Amino acid sequence: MENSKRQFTVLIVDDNLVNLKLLATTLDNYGYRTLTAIDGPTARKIAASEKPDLILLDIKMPGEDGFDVIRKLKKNPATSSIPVIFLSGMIELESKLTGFELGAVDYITKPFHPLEVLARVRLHLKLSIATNSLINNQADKLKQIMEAQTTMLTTPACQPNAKFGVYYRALEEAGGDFYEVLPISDDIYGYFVADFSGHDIKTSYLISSVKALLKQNCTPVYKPIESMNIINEVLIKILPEEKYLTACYASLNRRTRSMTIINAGHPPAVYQSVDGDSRFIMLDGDVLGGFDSVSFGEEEITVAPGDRIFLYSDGLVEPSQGKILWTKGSAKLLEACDAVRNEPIKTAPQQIVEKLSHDCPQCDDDVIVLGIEV
Amino acid sequence: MDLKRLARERGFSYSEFSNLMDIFIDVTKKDISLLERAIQENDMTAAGDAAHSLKGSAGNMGFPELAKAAKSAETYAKEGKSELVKQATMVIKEMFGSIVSTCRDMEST
Repeated sequence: MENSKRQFTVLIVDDNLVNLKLLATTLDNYGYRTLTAIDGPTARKIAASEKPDLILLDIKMPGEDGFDVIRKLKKNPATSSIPVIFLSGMIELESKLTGFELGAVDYITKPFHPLEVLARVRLHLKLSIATNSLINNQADKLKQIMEAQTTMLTTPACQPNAKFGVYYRALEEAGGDFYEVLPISDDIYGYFVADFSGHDIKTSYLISSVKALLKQNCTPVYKPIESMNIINEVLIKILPEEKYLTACYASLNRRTRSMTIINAGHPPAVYQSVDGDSRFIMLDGDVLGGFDSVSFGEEEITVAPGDRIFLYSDGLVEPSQGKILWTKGSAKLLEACDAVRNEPIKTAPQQIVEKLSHDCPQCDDDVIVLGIEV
Repeated sequence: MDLKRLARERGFSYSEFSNLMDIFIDVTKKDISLLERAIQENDMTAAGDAAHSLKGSAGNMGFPELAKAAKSAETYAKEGKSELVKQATMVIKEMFGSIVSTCRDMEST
């Protein structure tokens, strides 16, 4: 009943009063609630407080232009998921691509017909509703799983084209770490390493759920950040209180030679270029499944054949006995990665662990090291 | 120029369109003033901005000829051709005057 009465809110942002009033009148006539702003800072303030269902955003505005506004909206967890449609007289392809790259869902070229704008607003609200419905459906399905499934580990032999090696050690009563390797297309693979908070009996069931979510959502349709956002939204609905996970997701496209790293409160990935030293990819980001509105760390890097990336769990560099601090442990990790540079990728993770275990012979946490070669 | 037909085509009642026309006339007067001042001061950036604004509102309201004249002024301003901006502005003023007259005539009937 509530849904049938729901009024959708559209925020219109344009420094031209004629355009503002024109669009507001059209949308008001068709049952939408409209909010207006004539500049970027006001628009962002309204977006954060009113959470509109959609934003129509002019590009050319004095001061903060539309590109600046969408960048800031997408960085703010409170506004990052609001769909944005650009309105602009700029018809260059580059401008359109920039808009889409920054996260816009559509681009309407001025002069526009008010009824065309109305049609596009309707379309994108429908898509938004469908996406939310999909998320709810996925959450419902996962909630119905009554028994934890056996967690199957992906091995390099299962996915030879993924070119990875892994070291995995799960200690009794401490199974919170896991990894997954996902074939997304012939040339694109996703690599995921995560660590659940707390160690209890529900964890294996939850790991199965997360793996199912990864398979459902790490597809060519979604950008890596979009996949993680959808997974987060489902996890919010299914995880018990106080349960969340830290994760690092790397999506490698060997055809375009680019890799996108998404970090959700996890230790930084190590990047080792084929002809340079190892370095951390430092990214701040919220954990997965902890909050409704999240901002994950994201970086896209250009890679070359032979480059390597190592994802790992915190047990590798921060054993809970507390004898090794992150700063010291991280420096040792880079040294270990450099030391095994000439080892095949399949055995490099184990060698890294062996080199680090001299400092901590009685480690008491799960350890994962996942090495990927471009 | 049939404003009632224009209103219908764009999905508005005539009363709504009339309110929009009032705003359009106010905003366009300001844009033309800005354009003229920019020409006087030979500030082609300001002239281009004013012409851009006018182009957008005229096009979206359904006055393509006026939008086209404003686009010419914007293009000339970007190219620094102040004399051509001046000529385009004269065309704009003439077209805009005709739109305002039509609007006032409709209101008085």
